[in-house]
Amino acid sequence: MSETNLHFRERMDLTGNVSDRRRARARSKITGKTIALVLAGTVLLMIAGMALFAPWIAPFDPTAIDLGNRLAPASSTHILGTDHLGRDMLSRLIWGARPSLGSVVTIAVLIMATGFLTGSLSGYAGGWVDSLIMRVCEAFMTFPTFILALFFIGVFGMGMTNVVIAIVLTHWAWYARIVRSIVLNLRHRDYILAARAAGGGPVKIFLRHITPPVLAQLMILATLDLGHMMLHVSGLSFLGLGIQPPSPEWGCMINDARQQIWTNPGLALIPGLMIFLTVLAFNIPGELLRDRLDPSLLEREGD
Amino acid sequence: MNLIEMRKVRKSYRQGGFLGSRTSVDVLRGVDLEIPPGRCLGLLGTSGCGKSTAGRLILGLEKPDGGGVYYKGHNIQTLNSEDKRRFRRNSQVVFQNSHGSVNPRFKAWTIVCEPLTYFGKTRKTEQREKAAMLLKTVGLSERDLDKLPHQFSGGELQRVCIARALALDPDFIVFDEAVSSLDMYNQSLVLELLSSLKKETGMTSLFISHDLRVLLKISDSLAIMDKGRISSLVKDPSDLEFSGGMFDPAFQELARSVLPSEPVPRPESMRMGYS
Repeated sequence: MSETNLHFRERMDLTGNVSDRRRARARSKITGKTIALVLAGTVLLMIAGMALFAPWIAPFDPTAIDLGNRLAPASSTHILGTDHLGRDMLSRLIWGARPSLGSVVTIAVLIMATGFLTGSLSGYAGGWVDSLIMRVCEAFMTFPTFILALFFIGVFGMGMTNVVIAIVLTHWAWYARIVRSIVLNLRHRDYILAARAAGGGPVKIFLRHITPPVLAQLMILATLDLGHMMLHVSGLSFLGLGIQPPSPEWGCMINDARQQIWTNPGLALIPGLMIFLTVLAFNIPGELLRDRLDPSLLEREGD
Repeated sequence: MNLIEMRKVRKSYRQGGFLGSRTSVDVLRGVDLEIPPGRCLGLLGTSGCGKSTAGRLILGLEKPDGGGVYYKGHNIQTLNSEDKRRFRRNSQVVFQNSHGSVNPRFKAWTIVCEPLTYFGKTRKTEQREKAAMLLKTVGLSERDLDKLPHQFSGGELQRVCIARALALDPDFIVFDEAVSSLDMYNQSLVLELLSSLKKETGMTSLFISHDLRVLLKISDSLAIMDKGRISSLVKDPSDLEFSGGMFDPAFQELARSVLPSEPVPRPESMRMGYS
């Protein structure tokens, strides 16, 4: 008897210690998270600023070729040097933020809209509508992004629009399935039944009780995914399928710099670094948003 | 005339589907219930006998497979859209799980006024005034208007749900195990509130429960349900012993499942290798 008591007390002490340690860690994490969030926010703001104000802040025309000044090292006139056609790297980097960010935002909005509409229709209507939409989703999920992009470009020609369409077509199905599962989970709550008994029509109930939590989840998912989409865009541009060579884009710039990768590694490294930074800056707020809006945490709060 | 009645209502649910063979489970096998205006009918039965299904059907939340639900003599399935809306407005529900039956993101006044919103009264000041009045009716105060569901206790939140059911002054309310998840003290408080509301407003209600004590206290007549049928009707619950209700096999089974009230050791066959 006394032995079990001792055991028990020991365990109590141990758990006490653990929870103390955990609490301390949680406290330090909060500050770490805030710093990360501020840094990510600053980076995102800077990149967005670059994209928006490119014509005013870029020191040179990003497409102006100056063959006499090829592969110039960094100097006071060309802060990051020039590329193999003598174009100013900094200006190209600044202008390159435009298509990169613009396409990613367009893709995200399109994917969220299609995923939300089809997923919620599927989950809310149920029955054969649900089965039909889910089978279509599965068909789309089997396409690899790059293959579909190649197909589109083969059929409709090169250009950013086709890249955007290809990425949207290969990604919306995942969003639709996630939205559907959230809607299915919410649909059978008692408060939905109570709302029906209270006289709410399906559309009103959907807008009032289902849309807000689904949108919150979608935002988290999209912020986490933005980086991934940017990599797709850059990847396709690197293959020469998206933005066409004279106009600046980060993936494109890496492709241009392939010949000089050993002699002037900076030409490929700096746009790569920009992609890396942007992807990271998109991911950090997404992670934090997920922690913050986690539905399981919300439920626990509700009990 | 009865305010609302069920005539030979049948309902079955299908299980499985698409590839597997479908089997259907009969939940209601011809249920007749009559509720005259101003009365409270208690529906007693064990878990899984179809009580709650009957409740959802009588509210028109699901369609019966056979028979019909009649509101003021009209089948609710064949009402035109205007009459259907009137029926919706006049029938409300209170569920067992109060935390589950309110949206955790909404404040108390929004919850209480949800039926008003659906019937076109969306002005915020008007809604808050009405909500304050309703909360007072159910024994809460104006200070509770801006609370979120998790800030209420179970009993308080059940009162919020009752206030929501009362918002449109309905003719008819279904209480689906409305006090079953509350402790004895809160049960008696809520039951007292319901009795006084019934006296004041003359509301008609269907009170679904597996708890005979609760039903004896609140209902004017009692229907005992067993395996999807009404097995006996007791006109006067205070006279239960003499009306034959006590001898109903379903009631006997119910009594056996409740009594004895002390825990019984599990049979030898169910025990694991302890001891």
